[in-house]
Amino acid sequence: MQVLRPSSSRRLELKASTPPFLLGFMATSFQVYLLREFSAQFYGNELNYGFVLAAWLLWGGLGSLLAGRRSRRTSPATLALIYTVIQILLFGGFLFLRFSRHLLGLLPGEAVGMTPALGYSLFLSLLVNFPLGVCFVVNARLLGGDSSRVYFLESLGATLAGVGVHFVLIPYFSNWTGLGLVTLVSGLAAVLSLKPKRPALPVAATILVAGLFTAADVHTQKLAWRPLNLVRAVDTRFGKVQIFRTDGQVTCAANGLPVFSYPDPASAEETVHFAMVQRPEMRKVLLIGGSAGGAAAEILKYPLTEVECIELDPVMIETALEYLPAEARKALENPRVKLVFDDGRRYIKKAIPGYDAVMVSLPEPATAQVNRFYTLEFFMEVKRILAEGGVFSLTVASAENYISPDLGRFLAGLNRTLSLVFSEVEAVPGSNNVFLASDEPLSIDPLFIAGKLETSGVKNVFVNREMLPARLNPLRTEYLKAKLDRDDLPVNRDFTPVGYFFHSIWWAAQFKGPEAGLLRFFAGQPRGRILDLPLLLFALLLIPFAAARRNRPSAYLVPVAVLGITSIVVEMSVIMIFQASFGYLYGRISLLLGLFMAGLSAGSFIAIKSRSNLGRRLPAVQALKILLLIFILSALDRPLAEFLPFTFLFLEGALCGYLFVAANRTFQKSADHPGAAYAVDLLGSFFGVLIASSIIIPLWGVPALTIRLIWLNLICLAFILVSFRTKTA
Amino acid sequence: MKRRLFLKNAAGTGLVIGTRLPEFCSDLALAGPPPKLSHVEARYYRKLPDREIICDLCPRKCRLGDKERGYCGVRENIGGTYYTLVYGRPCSVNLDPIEKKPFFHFLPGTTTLSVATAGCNLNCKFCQNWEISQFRPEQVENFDLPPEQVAVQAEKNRCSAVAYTYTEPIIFFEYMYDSALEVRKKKIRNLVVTAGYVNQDPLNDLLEVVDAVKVDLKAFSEDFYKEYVRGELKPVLETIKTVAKSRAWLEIVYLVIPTLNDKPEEIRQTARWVKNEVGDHVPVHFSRFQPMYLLKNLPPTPVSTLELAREIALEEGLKFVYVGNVPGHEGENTFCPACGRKIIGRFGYRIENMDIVEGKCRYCGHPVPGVWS
Repeated sequence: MQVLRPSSSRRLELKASTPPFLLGFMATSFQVYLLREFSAQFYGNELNYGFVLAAWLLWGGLGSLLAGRRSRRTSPATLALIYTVIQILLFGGFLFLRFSRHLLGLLPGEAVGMTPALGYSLFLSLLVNFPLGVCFVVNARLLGGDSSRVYFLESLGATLAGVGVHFVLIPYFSNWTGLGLVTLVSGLAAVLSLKPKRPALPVAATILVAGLFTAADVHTQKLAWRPLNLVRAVDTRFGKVQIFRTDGQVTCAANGLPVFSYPDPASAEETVHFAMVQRPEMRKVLLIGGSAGGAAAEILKYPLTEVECIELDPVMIETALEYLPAEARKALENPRVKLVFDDGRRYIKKAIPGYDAVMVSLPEPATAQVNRFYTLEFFMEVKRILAEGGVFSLTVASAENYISPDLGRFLAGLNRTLSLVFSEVEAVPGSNNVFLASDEPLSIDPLFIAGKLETSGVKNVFVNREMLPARLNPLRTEYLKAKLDRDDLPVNRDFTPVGYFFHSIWWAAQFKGPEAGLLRFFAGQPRGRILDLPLLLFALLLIPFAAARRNRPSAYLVPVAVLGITSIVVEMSVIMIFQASFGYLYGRISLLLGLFMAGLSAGSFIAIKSRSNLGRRLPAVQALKILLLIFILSALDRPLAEFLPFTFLFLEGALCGYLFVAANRTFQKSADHPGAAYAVDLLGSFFGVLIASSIIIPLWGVPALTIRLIWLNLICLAFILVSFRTKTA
Repeated sequence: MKRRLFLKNAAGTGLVIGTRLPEFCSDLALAGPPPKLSHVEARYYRKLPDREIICDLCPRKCRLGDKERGYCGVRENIGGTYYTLVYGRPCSVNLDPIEKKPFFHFLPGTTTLSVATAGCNLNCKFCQNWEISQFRPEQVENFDLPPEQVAVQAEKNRCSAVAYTYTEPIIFFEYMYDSALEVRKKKIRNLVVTAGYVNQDPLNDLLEVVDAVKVDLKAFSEDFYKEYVRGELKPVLETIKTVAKSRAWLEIVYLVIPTLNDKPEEIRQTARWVKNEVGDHVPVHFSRFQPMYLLKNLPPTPVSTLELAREIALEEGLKFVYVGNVPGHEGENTFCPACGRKIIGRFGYRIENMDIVEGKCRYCGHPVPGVWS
């Protein structure tokens, strides 16, 4: 085996450090782009995000685990070859993803179920992250088996990728061009540092892949969406924006889902008029989303009303406006319209009270990000800025003729959450339900609404005297009311976002697979069975390890598995806390992720440089992790200073980095498997993502999960104290 | 029972009905557990050896062993006898304007009692009632509404007709047929809103008891039917021809879906076929697609596409061609084919003017086909 040894020469040291650094750089960059492209291709709900991340971690872990046993003979040339193969597979994988609908036999515009999404995420992650997992071990072998050092360099590369991709590439380049640049830089750096005997092949492959990514983006998108006429595609910081033109009609889609079509008076009218007629005069209105789709224009039908339109993504609105007809643009240029680009949640926190109406016109609450606009805390924030008797309205997809138990649960949960904040709640039936809420009486009587519209001189196509009697027939309104009148459902809250879970069940029921049944099963489980039983089993599982006279090497990996689970859950929870408290701020969310990686680098670096017995410090580090969790838990029910989430994630990263190196060094004294600790870390994270993000957080909430994490880490601490101090390997 | 508590109980069984709600519901046993599935022997099947049966209701001709269900999910072979599980067990009952079905030449401006059970013998990717059509009856909330009660409720709510609708009513044939007989006794009409995927024998029997049929012609290509509907075009065309020959009133709806069935040539073929095979007097509605079910990510149909479809069909010689789901559009109105005057003005579900007198144009006296009283 040829080993790259760091020498006294700085140049040589840099050369030896570059391949593991590149590993982290590539893995993180590829993961970010995979998530972005995946959510643009498949339905971007929280479960699908969870699948991609979980599959990624799973294959990375397995790659590292399996390679550890087989990669004793290796060379820099082999590593260079694997890096090149990964880049080729990467392009193939992304191409495969782009044409997934054709391969799955689906129409462009056809919804995809969870099973194909899971299959795709497993396959794509196998293509790319399995070999990257293998590379971890190969890098460790090339550094004389020093996997801790690889871990440090890899996390350093990941930090640079996190910052570079989010702050430099995504804001300025499309996903595919960004990938082209990443492959070009990392491919050439790999060749320069690993110096294979025949560099022409990897260099040519790198340039080819980078070129294909850059040149084929637009063309492949147009081809993939045929027969729909895709006229423009832009990757913004918030996702993929696509503009389709069908005859004279323009449809704007974000991440593959139509946000609005123009003209589409039905959606715009129902968003606006049911709320607008509730009070004699609506002078000041806040509209969150929907402005370019025609809702702002509908509000302008009331001559005395001024409207503030809040939109998250300026690029999406600007791109859409380029293709919309003049009248749509004119509405947004009207002096009575104030268009603000900000996170709606953040804007409302700062807003001065006095709005006569607040209207939400956003995509379905299928993700934690959008679900923030359907929670108890958000409704309370809205109530704070409403004028006396002010009206809040939101619109969600529903069913016109029959409310199924799955849909009923989602709608009734939403109704219950609204009812806890507002004394009056009414729901308009139809294929979309418009919820109205206020502290003063509301009416959905068709004659009242029609009369008010006529008095105001408002002429509509769908919300008018002709159409309302059928939609608001007492039969339909009372039926819906009966379905909503339930008090046995959990409240949708920021830190227990059960709304998106219920929405996911309804969504999954469309597909005739096992998905909906599985989700319903979890929804029906008592908290203890899912949260406490696994903890008990974990503790019981550790007893034979703790009771053994001599430690098995694998015992040293227990803290690594726990840190894998803990770190990913803390990462997701803190981002959720940040989004709820300060809004979805692209730059700061990226910074949060970057700081976690920086923490990992710093922690592992300190541990590597430490000359003391790292094993002895494990209990203290583990105890610090528990303290940090307690601190996070205590921060959940009070207003948060903005620096705290950043601090939490950096510290969590640092403690995890230190703990990883400490446990791994102890493990490696008794076992020659440089990839084992890394694999266990990733597999722990895999379980964390799969169980926490998809099921536990929405159903039982961040606080309940954090308490279980504290218990998990306490069990781990007890295990460390019993096993690591008193026994030898 | 307090109104709120009543509604809560009603929700448990899936029914709240009627404009005069409490009276309406007091007729029905709503409180308590949902009713069990029915076990009424089905019609149109043949017994085979070894307790097998063949269903002759629709062109699928499901061959079923003991304890197996047909493709529709609502008809089951139990010990060699075939049963319908949804007789008197609708899951959706509503009051709708007749224009919503849509019927434009059948008692305009009146109200229908809409009745539907779970299940369907097709699987359209754009179904707007997928939560009942794609589920089995035990997976939805049903209520107990036997045929005679269908008639009673239609009468109480002053409905001009009962519409068997939402899902494919052919799959609850026995319930529909027996309800139609009861409804007729009250001098109320029966309407069928169907995709037309049915065999000729049951269809002919049904046509004896119903007054109007609206057929959803989903496209004019076998490929479309195979891929997006999981059915066949040919039997649907046969159904349309049979209805046209019967005494029941016929209207046709063609839901225009962007990129899938909106090619001008396909529209022209459809119009030609209608004119040649069933007559130029049959109303054809080109309806606007709204993103639904599995095609939720497709854009809605541009109004200009519908206008083009209407133009083509008029060019081909059809006399009553409508644009559907676009309230206020000129193509919603009925024009006299002789004098060209607007004889029924519509805005959505509302009739603004009705200038047909005794089945003739008020202005020129030209007969206007339809059922007007």
